[in-house]
Amino acid sequence: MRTIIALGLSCLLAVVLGAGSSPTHPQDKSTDIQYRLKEGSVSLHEPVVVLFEVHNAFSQPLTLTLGAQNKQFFQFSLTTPDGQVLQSTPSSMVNVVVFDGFGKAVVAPGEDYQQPLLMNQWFPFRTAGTYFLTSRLTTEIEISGDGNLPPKSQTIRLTVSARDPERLTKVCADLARQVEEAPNAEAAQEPALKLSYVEDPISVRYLAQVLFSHKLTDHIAIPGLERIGNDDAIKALLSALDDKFGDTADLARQALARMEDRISDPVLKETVRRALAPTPTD
Amino acid sequence: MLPPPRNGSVLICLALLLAPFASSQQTPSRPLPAPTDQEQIVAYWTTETGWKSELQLRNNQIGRDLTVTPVLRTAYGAETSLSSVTIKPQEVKAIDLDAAIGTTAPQLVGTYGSLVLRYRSPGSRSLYASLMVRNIGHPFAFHIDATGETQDLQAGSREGIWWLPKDTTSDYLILTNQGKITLPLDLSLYDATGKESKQRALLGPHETTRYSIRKLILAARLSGSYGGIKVSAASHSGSLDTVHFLFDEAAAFSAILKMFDHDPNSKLEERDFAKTAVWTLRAPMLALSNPDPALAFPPGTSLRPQLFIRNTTGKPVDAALRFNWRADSSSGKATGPALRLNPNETRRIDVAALQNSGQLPKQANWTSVTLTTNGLPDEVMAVAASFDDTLRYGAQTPFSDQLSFQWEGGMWEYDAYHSSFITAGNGGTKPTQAAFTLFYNQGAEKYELEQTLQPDDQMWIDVGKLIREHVPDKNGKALPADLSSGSFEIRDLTDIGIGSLFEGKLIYDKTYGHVTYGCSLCCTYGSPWLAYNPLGIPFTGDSQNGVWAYENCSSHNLDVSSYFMNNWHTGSTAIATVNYMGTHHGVGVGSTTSNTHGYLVYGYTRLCPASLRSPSGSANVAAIPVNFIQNVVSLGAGISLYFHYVWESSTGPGRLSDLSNCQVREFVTLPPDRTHGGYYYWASPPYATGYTTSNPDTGATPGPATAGGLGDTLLHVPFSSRPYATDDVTANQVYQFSCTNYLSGQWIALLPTSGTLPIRRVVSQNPWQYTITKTGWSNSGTLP
Repeated sequence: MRTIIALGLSCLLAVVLGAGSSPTHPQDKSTDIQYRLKEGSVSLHEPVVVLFEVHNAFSQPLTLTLGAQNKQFFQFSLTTPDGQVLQSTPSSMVNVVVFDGFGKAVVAPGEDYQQPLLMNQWFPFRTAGTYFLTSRLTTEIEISGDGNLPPKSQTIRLTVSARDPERLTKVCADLARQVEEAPNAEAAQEPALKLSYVEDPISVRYLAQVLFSHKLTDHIAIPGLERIGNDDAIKALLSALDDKFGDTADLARQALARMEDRISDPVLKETVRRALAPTPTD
Repeated sequence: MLPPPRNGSVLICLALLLAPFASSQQTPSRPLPAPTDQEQIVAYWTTETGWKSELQLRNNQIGRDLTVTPVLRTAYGAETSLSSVTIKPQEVKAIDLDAAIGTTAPQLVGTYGSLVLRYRSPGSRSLYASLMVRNIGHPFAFHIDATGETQDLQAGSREGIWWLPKDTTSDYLILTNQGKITLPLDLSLYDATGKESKQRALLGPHETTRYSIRKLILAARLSGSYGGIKVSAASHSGSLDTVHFLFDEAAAFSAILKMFDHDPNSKLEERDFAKTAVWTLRAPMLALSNPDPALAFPPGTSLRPQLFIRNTTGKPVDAALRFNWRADSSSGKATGPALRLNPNETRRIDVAALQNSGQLPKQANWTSVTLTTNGLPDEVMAVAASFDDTLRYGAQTPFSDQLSFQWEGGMWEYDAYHSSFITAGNGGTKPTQAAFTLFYNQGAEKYELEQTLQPDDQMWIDVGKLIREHVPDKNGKALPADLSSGSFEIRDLTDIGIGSLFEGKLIYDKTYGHVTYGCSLCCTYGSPWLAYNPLGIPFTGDSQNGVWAYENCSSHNLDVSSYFMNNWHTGSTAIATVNYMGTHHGVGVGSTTSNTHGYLVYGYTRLCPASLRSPSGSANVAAIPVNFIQNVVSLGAGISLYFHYVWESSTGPGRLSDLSNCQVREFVTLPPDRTHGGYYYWASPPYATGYTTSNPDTGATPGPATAGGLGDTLLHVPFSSRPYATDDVTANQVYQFSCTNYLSGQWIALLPTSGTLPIRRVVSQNPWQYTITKTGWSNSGTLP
């Protein structure tokens, strides 16, 4: 066994941890970093998407270190309408996989960078009202050959209007259609993710539709159904137990096992219990 | 050891394991068909004075109990359910109908009708059932097999032979309508020359009607002691079942004259199991003039074996006979007479005369009889009988054309008054390996024999002898000395698609010197399917497909690919080609069809015909990730390890965009001992409290396969404050891919292609130190 005590910095962690990095550069006023709500307004339970935007006014390229899935190194704080302050939980992943082309973004001089952030991944927006979101990319922005820009926080106001079932249905239908009509599995991932965070009974049928479209979104749709957790969601998961595509049946089984204790309908609970009971193999 | 760090980081280019180009196939998995309501029907039962009916039920399934509800129908079709019976796998249970009826259904005492057996199972043939009809104080005993209704058989008939050997002989011809639709029938009787007397009959839903052939013959003024019977229906003939038996109190004689279904649309290829181009009937166990001493007939008993052969059509047919005889210590073959049968003629062949003339050896005890014709299936039928001149002693053996890969047998018996002979023969043209199994102790134990059988050879099993002489089976096991009954099974180990085995069973009763025969149940397959549908084929790579089918006696899925070889083809050779054995090659990215065909014993009818089946499915030639290699390892801050991997598309270098229907992930499992509710709870100390990891964990994956590479940083959750505790945890990691158009989205291992990559995290003391290790690379650091 080869054991090395000396510490090296990997390409990723060298930046992440920031120890011993080059001196920081004073914030350049002409470099515009901002967070804004993608849609002008959202109703309760709709996906809340905030855009992280960077305009590079420098004459050198900027390098952004975003981390896994281009979101790992963002940190948020949310003040809810009732005054509660929620903090996003820092990642405690022990295996951090970053696909090539992700994790870092280089912004050429004069160019803009935009990264949508689905805020529902960090916070549940449970009530209508006004929220205040403070966002920060925790890593420094590297100016090629000219130091770093320190992390900068920004607070924006988000207004979530009352639940609008008609609008929510349209949003869900549109996202489900985007998944089904996606030209490939890769293109199906983002709309499926947004749909999965519509924590509302309305989304159940659309999540089931997405799940059975076999676009490699089962790892997204099934947790979505689990989050909703109503009887219809459980029935959709029970149907998924017979699905032979990919991991669908396994993921549905795991989700139902986690949900079993909180099922209130005794008939449904018994159905789930039987479905999860070991069966003789062929 | 890694080289020393340089500029704060270490990049090590490594070419490690190459993922195989064509990924490994998974074992195809398909659940058994869902259990459905099944029915078998016994055409006749009776509780009339002196008669006893005993139902024998056997569960053919492996590993599943079977619950059967017998329902008695009166002659008019009214139903009465009896108590349900649960039968263990391979167990055979006997139910005395008098006892089962008890006092609860007096309307069923002293009457007759038909009997329905209702059960739920995935396959109709999971139940073997027969009814033994006996008469108290007389040597009358015969068995009636349960059959299923063949609802799609329309015009057809039941064909039989009548035989009235003595003036004192009585008989019953029983007609049963298994279905819900009234059957208008034509009942024709023929004398030996083919002269016909026809009458109409109407059989209401579920009704049973009983005729006396003797009375009908007299009324029709037909002469002679034997002739033909035809009961035909213009439609729904698959709902008609018939039984014909004789009994003679004065002669102490009974016999059953087996009747046959005749489907005028039967094709030779469906019933030519041995592929000899002629239709062949066999009777496996005809007792010859010199009876086997094992039958325990009185010394000096001489039998008169004879065959009744009938042309069931209105045109002449040719038939030929062959014999495979056996004596105590010798065996041989003999050719019998060639026959031209006139329309509707019934001819008696005196086999005893063939022995007397030397065509068959006089000392021979047994023979199998093979009858071939130039006609279609069931255009000729035959009945064999072998009794002494008084009819007091004798035996029968039924003719059948059926060869099978598997026979499920009913009850065998052995005690001071009974014993059983069972035979399995090779009706094919090539040697075959036959497996014979006796089940006992409620199906829980088995005794197994195997034998290679040349064409026309038979294995003879004298069950009493096996028990008495403690003959060891192929595993060295002997049958218990006090064993008295059980079930049996015969399997063709060489040919599991159609099979080449025929079977026979005789049970003799020393009380009366009477021998009865029993029939076994042939097994069939359900519709075969392609093992992979759709089949994913890597571009320029190979994928193997096969054919599976549900075997509906034992109730399990079997690989029957070898019966579909040489017939594979694809819809577009520009997309995929396929060789004779189902290996597909990806030529161009896209979808096409894949098909093959072959013969299997198939279906849910009374017979087990060989049927041409054509399973088909989709074949998708897809781009999949290949050449997944680790190209960078480095040690990171925070006591981490960093690995980088790259891959390509099977469509070639620089074609990563072809992988847009694929995703790549890591799949990590942690030890189960600290896992609850799908989460692994890190031990605290040495780790800070409250930290969990999903188990299994896919981290921030899956991600796009079009990326062509990924970096994987192995970290740890925060440590607790002092005092620490030691800990040693190994996670197991696999990198996998899944494509929507490849193997139904299954996650296929990229690295390693089998097994896992262990990731070990150890907290040790003196000094307190944390070490992480993966694939031979380690990083260590001192705890704070």
